[in-house]
Formats: sequence, C-alpha cells, structure tokens
Amino acid sequence: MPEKVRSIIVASSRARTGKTLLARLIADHFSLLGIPRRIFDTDAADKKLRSYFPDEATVVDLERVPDQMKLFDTLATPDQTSQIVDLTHRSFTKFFGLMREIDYVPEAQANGIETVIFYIPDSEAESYEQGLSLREHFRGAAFVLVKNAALGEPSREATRSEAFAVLASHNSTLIMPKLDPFFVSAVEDPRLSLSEFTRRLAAKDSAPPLSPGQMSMAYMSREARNEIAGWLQVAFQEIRRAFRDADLHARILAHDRFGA
Amino acid sequence: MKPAVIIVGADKGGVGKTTVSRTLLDYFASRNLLARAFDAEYPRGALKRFHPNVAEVIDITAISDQMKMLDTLTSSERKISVIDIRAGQLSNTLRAFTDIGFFDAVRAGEYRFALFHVLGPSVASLEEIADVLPYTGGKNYFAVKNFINETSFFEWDPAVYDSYFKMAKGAVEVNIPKLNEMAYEQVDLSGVPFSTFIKNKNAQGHNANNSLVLRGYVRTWLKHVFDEYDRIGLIERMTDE
Repeated sequence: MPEKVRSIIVASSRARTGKTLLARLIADHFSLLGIPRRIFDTDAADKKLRSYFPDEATVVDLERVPDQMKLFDTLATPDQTSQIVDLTHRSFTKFFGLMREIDYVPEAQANGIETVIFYIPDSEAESYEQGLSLREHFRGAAFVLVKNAALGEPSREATRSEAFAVLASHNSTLIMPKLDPFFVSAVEDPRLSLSEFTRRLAAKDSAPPLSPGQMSMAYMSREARNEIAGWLQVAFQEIRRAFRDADLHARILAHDRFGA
Repeated sequence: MKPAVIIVGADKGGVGKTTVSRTLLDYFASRNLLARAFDAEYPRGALKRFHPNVAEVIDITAISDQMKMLDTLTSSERKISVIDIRAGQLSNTLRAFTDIGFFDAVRAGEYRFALFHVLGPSVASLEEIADVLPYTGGKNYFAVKNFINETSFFEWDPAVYDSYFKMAKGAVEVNIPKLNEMAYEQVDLSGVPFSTFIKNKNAQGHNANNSLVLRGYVRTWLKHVFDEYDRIGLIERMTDE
C-alpha cells in the first residue's frame, strides 16, 4: 500500500522542548522505511536539524517572504513526497498565522497531502493553552500531543488549567522516551546518523564502510550502543503508533466530511 | 436603478489611485453588481490592462469622450461607472463635469455620485481636500489613505490634519492597508484582477501557477479592503438598496 503523503510540522511555542530531536527521529524513521521525504530546518541561525541531514535538509528563514514561498509552496506541491518541518519556536506564531492566512490545510488536502502537527508543550499552562488553540484552528489537520519524557512533569498550575484537561483526553499522543543523560551527547553528535546506527545494528558485520564524517560505532561502548538502541526502538515504535493514530483521524474526518 | 458614478482621483501620481479603482471593480463584481470603468490615463491605460472587458480608455479633456461617458450612463446595463482620473487632473475634470451639467444632474437626483480622493503623504494633499470637497456637496466624499506602498502619513502634523478634516465636514476616511511587495508585483506581472489572481487563474481563465503564499497575502489584503468598503456602506450609497 503506498505510503500516505504528509506534511509533518514539529512545533512548540517554547525553546528547548525536543522539536529538533523529534523531527530528526521522524526523518530517520522514514529513511529506515525507505520513504522519500523533504526536510526543512526553519532555524536559520542555529541550523541544527540541517547538521544531522547536511545533504538533504533545506534551511528557510520565515521572516523572508521568498523563504515562506519556498516552504509553503513546496508543502502544497502534489509530488508524492512527504515533508518534515522543524519549526523553531521563534517562528511559531508567524508560521501558523501564515498557514491560516493562506488556507494551507484545505489546499494541501486537495492535493492529496495530509497535514500532521506534532505539538510539544513544556511544563507551563500557557503552552497547553497554545496547543489547544492550535488544535482548534486547524481541525483539518491531525494533531499529535507529544510528551517529551526528558522535560519533566507539567507544573501544578498547568495541570489545573482547562486546556490541560481538554488535551488530556486527546486521542492521539506520542511519548518521546527519555534517554539516560550519560548518552545524550553521543546522540546529539551530528556525526551519528540514527538511521545508519539502526541499520548497522541489524546488519552487524555485513554493513558497507562508513562515509567520512560519520561516527563509527566501534568507538561506542557496548553499554552506550545498547542504551541508544533500546531508546531508539521505543522512539520509532511511538512514531509508528502516532502515524497510525493520525491515519485513523484522517479516515474519521473523511468519513464525517463525505457522510456515512 | 439610478446610474452611479465614482470618480477616483489624486493630485499626485504614485499614490495608488489605479490600485484603488481596481479594488472597486473587484468589490462590485464580488457583490454581483455590474460595473464599468473609464480609464482616463489616456493614451496608455493601466486600468484597462487589468480589466479589459469592462474598462475603456478615454481622453477626459475631449468633449467627445466626456459625452460618450455621460450619454451612456443611463443606457448602459452596467449602472456603476468608475472613472479613474489621471493624477493632477482631478480639479480640471471636476470643473469640466460642472460645465457640462453633470453636478446639476446629481443635485437633481438623476445620478448618484461619489468621489474617492486618494491622498498622498504631503501636506499639499490636505489642501486639495478643500478644493475638491465642494463638488461633492459634502456627500460621499472619501479621503483615501493608501498604505499599499507603506507610505507614512507622518508628514501630516496632527493639528494640521485635524484642522483640514474639520473643514471637510462629512468627509469619510478610507484606509487601504499595505500589501506585501512581492505579492503586488506578482499580480502586476500576471496582469489580472486581484480576485482572479487569488483564484489562481490567468487572463484566459486557465489555471495559473501562482504561489500559494502570495495568493494568500492578496486574499487577506483584499478582504480588509472589502471590509472597509462594507464599513462605509458603499453599496448602499451607490445603489437603490
């Protein structure tokens, strides 16, 4: 069955919530499944996602109209390629404002592209309110509420907010598992490709030589390899589950739209 | 329905007068009202480029063209006429229309009349208001501030501004907001009305390949413009409704 074409937006209204990591995991997940995808890094200053996909990611600066066009016009193009957007928190308002202004979701839908928003709240009430607002404004898109286990629990004030209560019953979630802090720097190293890592674990001895700039697993301790492998397995499982839920949501939406 | 005439004029070039005329044509079309236009930017006619089917280029100083316009006011099925006057010709045109009895006919209730006076950022613009306002009898005079070029109207000292607008009793302000430059340029290149650009069509009615982003900017901008025209009750003023 052909893979669905999706516009995947990884977003958070706050900094340092794990957006780039999730975008990277999704891109690697697609790579492992052999699904072609375009990767957009909207942080023109840090270009962190691009550092993990130097040959594939496009950097766009959403303050510039030509870059807005490059991103959104591509996002709506019906060419059977999914796309992943790592939305810097600095462009959160601009991006979704523009998405509304240009009526992106229905136009993409008309071109066979489903929009999926992965939203990562932080521990504050305001980020839950913004998440709920986002879900309500883009009802034609699938909305996945992400819990990043590395971020810690929501604040007491947050758990008492109405937005939190509404989102608590949201039917599509993804839990980013927490990786032991000891191994985080290995994972964050741009020389480590998570999809390559996973392939090599499976291939063991028969893997082709690494290209220059990639990190050899030989330099990794067995403990590190096992920890990271375990963490990745859970993460990829969660991503698979999230997309299954998003597909279900899309089917329900289509069902509602076209009648029983 | 009584014929209605809207004159769009400015005493300076480059204030966006023809852009305003184009939005008026799109506005009436969107409300299913038949409108036609006379482009007095003779001989070139930017308005005609965008609205070839409803706009005619005329020489406003030629009596023959003046008569052509006014004689067909009642007979045309298009009851609303938008006349885009060349920059600097507004006062002359209003005088010429007086001479041929147009304003007498307006006063007698034969035609409806509105004046869209597109103002520039200099103080001289404010002085034009005093010159031009009397022709409208204080009715349906619209002072248009066009921010499309992000012109700052800061040259208008608030006190001076107040004193002129106090003089212009009944003058209604209309604000045309800024439209992103790339979007404006793209519409210009495509040579179609704003509403056609938004629908992603070309002049022949076929699918154009316009940027989703630029179309969105134009759609939002045009909606704001239409909201302004709704706010001033333009339809009610120009029709029997």
